[in-house]
Amino acid sequence: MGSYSNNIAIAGIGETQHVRGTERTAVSFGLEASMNAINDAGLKPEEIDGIVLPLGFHRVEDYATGLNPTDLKYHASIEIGGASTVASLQYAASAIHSGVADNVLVVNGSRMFSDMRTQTGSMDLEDLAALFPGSMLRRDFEMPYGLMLMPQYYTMIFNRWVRDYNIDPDSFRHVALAASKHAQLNDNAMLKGKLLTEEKYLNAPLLHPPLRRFDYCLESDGGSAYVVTSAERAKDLKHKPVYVMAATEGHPDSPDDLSAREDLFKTGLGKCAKRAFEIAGVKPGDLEFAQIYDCFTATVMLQMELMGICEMGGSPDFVKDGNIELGGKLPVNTHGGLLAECYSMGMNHMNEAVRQLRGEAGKRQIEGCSLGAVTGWGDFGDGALAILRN
Amino acid sequence: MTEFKKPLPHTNEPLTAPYWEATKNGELKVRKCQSCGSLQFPPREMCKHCHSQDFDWMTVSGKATLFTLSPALAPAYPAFADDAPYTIVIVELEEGPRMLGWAVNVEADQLEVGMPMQPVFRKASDDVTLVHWEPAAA
Repeated sequence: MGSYSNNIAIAGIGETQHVRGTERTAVSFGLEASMNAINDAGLKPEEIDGIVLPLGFHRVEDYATGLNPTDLKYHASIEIGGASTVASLQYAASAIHSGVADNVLVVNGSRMFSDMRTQTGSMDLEDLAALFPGSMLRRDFEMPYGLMLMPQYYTMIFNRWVRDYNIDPDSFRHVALAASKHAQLNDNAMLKGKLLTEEKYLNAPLLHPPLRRFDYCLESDGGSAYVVTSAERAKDLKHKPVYVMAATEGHPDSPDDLSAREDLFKTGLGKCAKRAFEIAGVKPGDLEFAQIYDCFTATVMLQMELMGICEMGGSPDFVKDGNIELGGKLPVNTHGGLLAECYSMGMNHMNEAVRQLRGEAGKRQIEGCSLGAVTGWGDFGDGALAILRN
Repeated sequence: MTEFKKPLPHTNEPLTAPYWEATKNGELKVRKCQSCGSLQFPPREMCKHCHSQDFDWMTVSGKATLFTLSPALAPAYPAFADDAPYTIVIVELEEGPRMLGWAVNVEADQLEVGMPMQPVFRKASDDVTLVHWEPAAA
């Protein structure tokens, strides 16, 4: 049978508007995005025969009820935090390649603004612990010490990284500034019209050192979706197919416990990036864009090092001088990412990658681009990497 | 107005109860695999080195070095408002395993990866004594 590589395509993408505060349910947003993606693919909802749900917020029935597929043959629930949205592509690809399903929908609808703001005390902590892998560790060994927010976990990695590789935290700003610049070209970006200046970035306080306020991503409510088919099927559908050269996921050692992880830099992305480039038969230097999971600016830089875009410790030099902006050496997050477009946990990164490869990115279009990658990063260092081409 | 309480560990979980019993007495304990001798903390079902599920508990010295830090300038939860700013540290015990608590009796900017640390036991309730970490003499 051979590999799925190059035999699978993304045929449809869809989004909703992304907002801060809503009365709609998260599934409502997901369904709207699903219909947009299904229509974009030139398919009908009843033709969907596989549904993959990243993040574990919902069950397949929540979507199947409204979409009403004729015969749903496949479903999967992918729960590796933010990496789930990109890792889901692997599940869609393998279901299609093995003949289990033909038209697979991957969808996220979420209310990360309206529901998940733990600092306000609005969430029950035992409920919060239950959302994480290693729930008992969180509840008994971490929450009693006021440890419960993602930036608190990630700075454990960043503070070692800064020290071990001589990273200058002053370089993080370039990631935030580039994202904001790109968002100005994106009508669906929440920060369009709100350009971040260096002054504004520096005047905002440190929150979890070395992270400042504008090193953090947005919080939003909204939905995003993509539809996956075989390369063969995609040729007959609406848009120019975007082919999947590789879609991998990776898990770190000591996957749910940073304290017990021997090497903090041995993350899921490092492991699966290696595999993805081998499967795709390309090198990091071949990429014409990289949509990189940007929960924090520093996460983007660390991932660039882990996936081999630059060497370990090399990202501070790489991100300056406009290198990661449109027109630069390797444009990163051409849509503005989680930092400046919306918080759909990487679904938006996949959709922007597809737009670029279709030639439909408008003012953000990278001229003649034919190859790019999308990363996923989740929980305590789970990772995913998709390599796509047209 | 809701009164926010600090979350406390459940000390009656069979997997972890001996650790909390020990901290009440100012003692630190980790798990020792009875098959290969590897030390493990926090307690998990299986030894990742030899895959045995047969453990015993072992007292450790408390001598440790700072492995990494996570400063919080604002409380992560309203119940910690009076404690903020606080810095969470992961320390590496001289016996190998790592533990997590607050850095106490030290300013955040004095913390350096690799510096010697020792435990500070603080009673949080009748059932629970938490373990924090302060700089130790070299």
